[in-house]
Amino acid sequence: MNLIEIYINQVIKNLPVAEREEVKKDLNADILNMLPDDYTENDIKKVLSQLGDPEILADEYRDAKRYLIGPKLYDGYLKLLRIVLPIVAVIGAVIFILESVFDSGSINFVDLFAGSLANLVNAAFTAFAAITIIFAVFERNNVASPFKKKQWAVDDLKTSHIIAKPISKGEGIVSIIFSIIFFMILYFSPQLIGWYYTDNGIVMNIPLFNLDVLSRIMPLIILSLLFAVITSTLKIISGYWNIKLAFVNFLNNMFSAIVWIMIFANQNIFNASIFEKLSSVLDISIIRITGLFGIGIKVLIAFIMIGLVADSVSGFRKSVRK
Amino acid sequence: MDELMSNLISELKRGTLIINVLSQLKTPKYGYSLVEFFEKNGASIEANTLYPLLRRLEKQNILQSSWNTDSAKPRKYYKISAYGEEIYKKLCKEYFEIINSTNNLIMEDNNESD
Repeated sequence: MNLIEIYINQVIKNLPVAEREEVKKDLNADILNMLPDDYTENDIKKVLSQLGDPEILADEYRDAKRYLIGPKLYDGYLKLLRIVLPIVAVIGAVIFILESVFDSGSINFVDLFAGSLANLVNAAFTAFAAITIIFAVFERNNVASPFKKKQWAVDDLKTSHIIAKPISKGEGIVSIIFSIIFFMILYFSPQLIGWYYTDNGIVMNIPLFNLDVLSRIMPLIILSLLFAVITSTLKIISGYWNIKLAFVNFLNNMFSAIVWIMIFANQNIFNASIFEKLSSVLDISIIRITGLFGIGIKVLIAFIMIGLVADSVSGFRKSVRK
Repeated sequence: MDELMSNLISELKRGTLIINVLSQLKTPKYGYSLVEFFEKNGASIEANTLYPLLRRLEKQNILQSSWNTDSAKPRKYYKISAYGEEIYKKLCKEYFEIINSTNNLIMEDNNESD
């Protein structure tokens, strides 16, 4: 192979297959026309160095995109990474910790730390790869950024976040993480919530909940947690309060209020043996225990309701705040 | 300074590149003949910029091409298409408006500093 062929091959190897033959033909003619009639190897070298680095020349020939994610999508890409990566990373670590605690029961802190760190990094990288691939596909197919609203107009300024209060991202992330931990414990190992005591050196545990009753209302709990995760995600994406968001927040709070009341309204949800245990430990009659327990639950529900109402109201106030 | 200046100049020239090329393609020409022509006329353009540009313009239907294989060296001749003529006219109109307003700006600036 002579120098010209080698040069042309280096140019076209970086081009789409469909283009290669044509560019090869064009470039070959162009190079030959730049050479004098009786050319020497030196003449060839002179012409080729005039054309310069084959990769740069290939770049000029190629009009396809040479980047994974272009400027139009880049902001949305970064935004999504910043939201999703921390969540996924923490969830990865938490799942590992919960799994190892549930599986083995005994806890080795070094293993737990190393394992959760590895899972954290692993989950973060997986999420990073997935988001990058999705955005690269968007880029190739000219899909608009999921975060970009249609066309910007001056009037947007009036309705935009400038007048509304920002929502802290950390709050949303913490809420999502707790929802997931809560779900995992309630769904996979509700028996772990209970009264622990040692009997002859063996750790015993009386579950707080009546597992049959709990599993019957489980679909509602899952729905409620799902709703909470969606609401938090919407808050994180928006970053600022607005009326629609405040309304979703309100619905979410209503829904959790209903679920909380359904959980605690009947005492059947609780395991009767835990009352017996409390009664024997505290030396109070079972009737008094259940009575006190009932009052405690009512107070708890009252606090939860006040919290939910306050949160809903503050959502609306923050969305109209000047 | 030198590198900055040459970057700025090449950026300035890039705007007129296509007009320059289209202006010369009323009659068919091949790549290297254009390189030589522009070099003689002080509007030099690198071969490695021109060849890919000609190909792009052809893909956009602004140019049309034909091969001449009569001589020992095959040549691909480019010529402006009817569609390209329309585009060229519009570009020229824009070009004159741009230099007029730029000229005015530069003149005002000169007068003020005098």
